[in-house]
Amino acid sequence: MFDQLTQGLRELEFLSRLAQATNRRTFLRWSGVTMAVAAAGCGEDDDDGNGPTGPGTVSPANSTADVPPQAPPNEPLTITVRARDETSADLTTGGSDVIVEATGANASGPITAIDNGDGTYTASYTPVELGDDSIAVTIDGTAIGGSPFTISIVPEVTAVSLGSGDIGILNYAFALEQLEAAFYTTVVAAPFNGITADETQVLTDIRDHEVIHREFFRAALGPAAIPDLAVDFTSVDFTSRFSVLSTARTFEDLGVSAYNGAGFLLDSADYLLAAGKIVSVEARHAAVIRDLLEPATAAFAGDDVVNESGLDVFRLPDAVLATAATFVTTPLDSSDLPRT
Amino acid sequence: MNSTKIFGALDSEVVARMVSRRGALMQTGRLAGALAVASLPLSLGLMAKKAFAQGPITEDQLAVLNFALTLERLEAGFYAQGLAAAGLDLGTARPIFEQISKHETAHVALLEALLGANAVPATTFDFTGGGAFNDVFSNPTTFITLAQGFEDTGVRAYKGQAGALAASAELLTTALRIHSVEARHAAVVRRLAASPAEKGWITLNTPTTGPLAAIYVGDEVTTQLEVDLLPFGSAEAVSEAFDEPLTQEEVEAIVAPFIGEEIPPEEPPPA
Repeated sequence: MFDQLTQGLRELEFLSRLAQATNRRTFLRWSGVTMAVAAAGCGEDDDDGNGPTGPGTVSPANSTADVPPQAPPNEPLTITVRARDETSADLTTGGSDVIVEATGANASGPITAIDNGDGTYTASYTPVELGDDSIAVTIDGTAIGGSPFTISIVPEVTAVSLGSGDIGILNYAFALEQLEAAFYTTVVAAPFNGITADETQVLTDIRDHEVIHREFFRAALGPAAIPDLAVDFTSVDFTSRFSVLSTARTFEDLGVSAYNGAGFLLDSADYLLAAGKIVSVEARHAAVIRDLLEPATAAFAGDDVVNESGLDVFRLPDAVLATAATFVTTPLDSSDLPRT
Repeated sequence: MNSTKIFGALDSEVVARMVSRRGALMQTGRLAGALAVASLPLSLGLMAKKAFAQGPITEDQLAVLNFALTLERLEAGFYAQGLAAAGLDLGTARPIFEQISKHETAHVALLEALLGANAVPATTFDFTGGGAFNDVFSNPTTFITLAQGFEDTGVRAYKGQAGALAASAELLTTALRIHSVEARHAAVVRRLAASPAEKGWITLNTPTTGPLAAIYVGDEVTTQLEVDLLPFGSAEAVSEAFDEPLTQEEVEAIVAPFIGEEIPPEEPPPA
């Protein structure tokens, strides 16, 4: 219950900060003159077989612009426009009027793009407000292909580094336990429709176990522990038994595979033993959840997780974190984790 | 029907599956050490080769693998005999035991393949535990009790050996992957127990009385890596959240009543 409250408060705090940031009215700074060393197109297209005379005249519809889907505020944002002809061949000379204009959360006004003289044009503006900007690009007064483009101005979030060596692996486990604990805390706080007494007992027990695992890692890691991670369970329908138990199955199987695949990465025998003490409990969870979903069948240790040699699934950290990233919104930097 | 016969039946099936690709059919009942890695299914063969690629398996590692093999043979024999017993009505739980049996048989094959000629000789088994479980193959309650005991023992046994295999990434990972399968088995079998009803996880060191008591000795621990976990949950929940290991000696004492005589190796039929 307490964890649930803390979690809720944290979310509220984040939302109110976001609202403040969005309401703050600031004048937009923008610059039409950027030293855009923009990767000018190298004309890699092998369309030059179009004819002996080279590229023809500009076709706005075939021209494109390189607009990233996201960008941070308060940093110059450069847009590179690539002019192409009616056969979609890259133009290699300039001479067109290219206008770029951002509207939406930020209003740049019309920006005349710099003619790089090689068929590319660059324009730059500095968004300040968070939100979506619509980027309209015209060549000689006609919109280019794909225009207007949408770009989300979102705060730059620095990734949390898991660290290296055994500490990195323990933080990796800590991250997974945070995810599981947060999930079951939500499940128990708001049970799905028609939950049975047995299911309540099982899910409450698992919630308790995962919270204990999480706090164990936090305490064992001490100052080396990563901070609390933000989670996103919007893909889960917490009123639905199937949605909750299916997600639980995903998490438990993921946990089993993660510990099985991380054991050999640990140097310390003590840490290895601790991980071994936890993984069998995760496997017990997985089996019980699976049996709730498909009672009295082979599903508890189904052929989808246990192979023909009787070996359970195992995954290396990168694969596990890729799956976990669906639910963990804080970016995790696993680049220093041991790999052998 | 004795245990020798059971193992014979099981193993010839496994062997037949393994060598079918070569079109050969092995008549011998035992998956003897002579079985070449080349005749194994791809995944198994690759794994065995990887384990050996790191250099020869050490004496200590061989001892651990043989210890595991003994436990797996015990389990495999137990389920095979139970599933074959005409008088044992497993009811709706039968598919669960069939899946478990499949895994234990695969574990035996895997370990025998890894060990090759170094595999310990098979033994007969006495699943009545010297008369303590006389109705094991006619009374489902007794069968489930013993299954729970074997599975929870297996989980604790593998956990106790992880450190001894740590020098080999392949052997350690293989052992961990068997270990979690045993834990899946244990959890679902525990929930089949009606009296006393069991959770899928081990609470404290219960049951502290009865035939299974020795299996749960020391599982009530509430401190891990010098971290006192009681601030984060009840003693029950904390003990459930961590499964403790058993030493090889403790495990051997637990299974001793079930281990019978060594079976002399069968000679392969003349070619």
